[in-house]
Amino acid sequence: MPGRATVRRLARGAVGVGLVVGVSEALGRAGIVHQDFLPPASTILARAAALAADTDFLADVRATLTAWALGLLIAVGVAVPLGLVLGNIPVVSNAVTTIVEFLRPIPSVALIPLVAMLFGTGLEMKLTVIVYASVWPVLFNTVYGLRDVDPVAKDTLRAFGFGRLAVLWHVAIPATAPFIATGVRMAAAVALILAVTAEMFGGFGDGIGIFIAEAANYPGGTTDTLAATVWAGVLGLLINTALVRGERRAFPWARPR
Amino acid sequence: MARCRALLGILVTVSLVAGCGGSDSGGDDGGGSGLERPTIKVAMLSLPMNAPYYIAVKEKLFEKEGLKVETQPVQQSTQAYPALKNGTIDIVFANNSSMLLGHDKGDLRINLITEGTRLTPGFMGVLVMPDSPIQAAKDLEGKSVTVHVLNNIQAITLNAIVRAAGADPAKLNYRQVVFPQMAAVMEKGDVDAIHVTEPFLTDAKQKLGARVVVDGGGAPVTDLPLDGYFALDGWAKQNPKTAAAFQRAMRKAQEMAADREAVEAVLPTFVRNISPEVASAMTMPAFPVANDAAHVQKLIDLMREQGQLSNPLDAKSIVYEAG
Amino acid sequence: MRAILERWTVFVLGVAGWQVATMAADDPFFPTPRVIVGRMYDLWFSGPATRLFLTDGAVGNVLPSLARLGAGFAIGVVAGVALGLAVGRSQWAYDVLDPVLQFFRAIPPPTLVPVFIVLFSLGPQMQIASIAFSVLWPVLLNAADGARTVEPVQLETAAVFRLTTAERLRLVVVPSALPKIFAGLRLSLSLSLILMVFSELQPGAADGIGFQLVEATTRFDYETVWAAIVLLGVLGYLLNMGLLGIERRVLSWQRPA
Repeated sequence: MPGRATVRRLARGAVGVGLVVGVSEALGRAGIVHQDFLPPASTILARAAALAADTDFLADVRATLTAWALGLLIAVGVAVPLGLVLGNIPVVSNAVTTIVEFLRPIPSVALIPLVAMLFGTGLEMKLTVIVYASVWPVLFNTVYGLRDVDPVAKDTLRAFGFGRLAVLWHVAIPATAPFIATGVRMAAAVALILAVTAEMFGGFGDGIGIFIAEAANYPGGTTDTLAATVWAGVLGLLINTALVRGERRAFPWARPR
Repeated sequence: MARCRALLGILVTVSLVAGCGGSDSGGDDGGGSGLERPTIKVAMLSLPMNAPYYIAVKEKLFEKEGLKVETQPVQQSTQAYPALKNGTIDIVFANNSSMLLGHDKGDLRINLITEGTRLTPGFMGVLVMPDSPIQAAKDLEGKSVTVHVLNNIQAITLNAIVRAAGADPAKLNYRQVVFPQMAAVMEKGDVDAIHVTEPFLTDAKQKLGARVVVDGGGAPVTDLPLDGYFALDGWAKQNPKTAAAFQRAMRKAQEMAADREAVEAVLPTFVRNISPEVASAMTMPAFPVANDAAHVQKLIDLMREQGQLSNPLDAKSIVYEAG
Repeated sequence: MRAILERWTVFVLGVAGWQVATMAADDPFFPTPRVIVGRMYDLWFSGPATRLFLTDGAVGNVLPSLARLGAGFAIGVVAGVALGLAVGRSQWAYDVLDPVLQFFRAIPPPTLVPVFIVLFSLGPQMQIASIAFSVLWPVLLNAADGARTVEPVQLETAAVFRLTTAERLRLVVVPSALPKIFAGLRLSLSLSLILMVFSELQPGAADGIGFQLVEATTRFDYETVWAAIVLLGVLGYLLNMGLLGIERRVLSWQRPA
């Protein structure tokens, strides 16, 4: 049973949403351009609702979410062990800093043409782009979290004769876990945005981004584009909410960042 | 450093492994029709001008030639180039100027298997808002005009038309805007004129009352070949029977496409959401039923004249003819 | 000192390894670093000394890109910090806006092109707007979070001293929120680099690093593609270092809580 505080928060959130819808509706009907070019919110939302019954679109959603989940999984699988290593061996961490600092800013988007040349434009390209961008938040949060580990706890265990790995397992990982979780949450958001973007720029197969790109090919397609955009935003919102709640439940002692 | 290389290595390996199952090697089973590649993959767009291809699919014209065709929809033909280069795609539908540019630079040597469309009067045009002072091609000097892709077929044809009208094409200010956004941009007054193709042309006329000031398909560029079905240089030589079969099927389809009703009937199957008003009012391009190297040469010469192609090119060397 | 030497040694080794690998592979998709640097020099840095060695190409592409990046970042940051601090101080405002903010943050930027193209004029205005839009959310959310988590002791002290709202903001809230704000800034900086590239793929783009990158793709000019990617990495690195420097200086003024 949600408590009164939760209900109050949901109600206020609803007010916010209502405000935004109202403003968009006004914009759409303001007559800046023909309504087909900038549809009012009511048209967009109606179309978004209609899409829920469209099996082709649902297949697109499934495809995007699959790429998202796979990409996120790979990114976590690579970044967490890597982060644990880097965080624990200061020499290595220091050594790769420069390289990492050069690689990280390169926008995944800029890599799409190159990756497309290499892998074509199917799932491999999407995954490469998603993983490349999603690795960094997880990596940095893991390393950052390791720095926060209580050195006294570590030294105590060492004094008792536990080896490095045991220290890792018993102290470092539980302490780092909340940070890793935050990193995964940030990576999840990035991964979804890139999944859709990669689809838009590299069109093979199914996906929300492909639906959007196709919608751009005929007049009056803006309604479809924005309806699918609403879906993407809502999906991101749901994923974020679910992960925040998961974090709070798993790590009640840590303050979510 | 080793970690980063390992990271990249892992990424690449994962992607390669994930991709292992994906490539198609359609030509190995030999088949009863005697074709070298009984199954081919074609990268297609979803624009109204692709109607003949979809007519061929609907009427099973490919099957009649013993050919099985897998369609790979793409948003822009450029997305299929890597696949074309590494063989996962056999034929791509692309615009002639882009292909000629790539061929000229040596990056992508191609053969034109079948011509796609030729420019007809009214198929492309320069539109302005009803109250615009622009009346003819000469008035475009010093004004901004949108094109879908810079330095491509729209600029090439418009430059030729403007020059024929006695004005200086270098004085046109080209802005790059994709077709669906062109009308909105013009309505807002951000640009003076838009150079659009169907169905966006008819749509802009219907929604905004826009006026056509220059016929993008008029003299001297009428009948210029716009696009076609391309394969890599050498593919046709390696797969002569397949290429001939594809060409035959497409030619029948192009003949059928001369009947407007056949085109309007097939449009909804591959173009999402085209409104009936636009579908019935839009101008269709011409669908040639035979390849004509002379027409392609005209385009090549125009591109050489405007400095886009650096090497001389004989159309006959890239236009494929069966037999 | 030794740390810096270590870092750069590994970096140089990495580049050397890259050179060897690409020379061995001899693949047109992977030009050697030497070729890439040569291309960068030709494109951007072989100009007259009076102009800092910048070529026309650099002045015409790199500078406008950076200018738009700067403008978009500045606008997004100012708006984000101002709004974020305001929202953070009010639990009511936070509850109302949180779902909306999370929604907008999850929208993939390229999907909003139809909206931006109508609301803003074609060209730089639209590009700066899309950069600012994406920069806004992380800064806003972080500033709000920072403003929310000011230590109660400090607030009570401010009340005891009867500080005005403005003074309280300046002397208590802002300094307390600064670490979180800077975290948001760093994230937004990388975002703005990505968005800068995005915005140059949009309708109306006529110049820029991203524009050059994509244009090179259509001409199969892989060396320029790589040159642009490397330039983005270098720029990102320099901008990040700059921001870190500022952060260190500003935060060192702060007395520890």
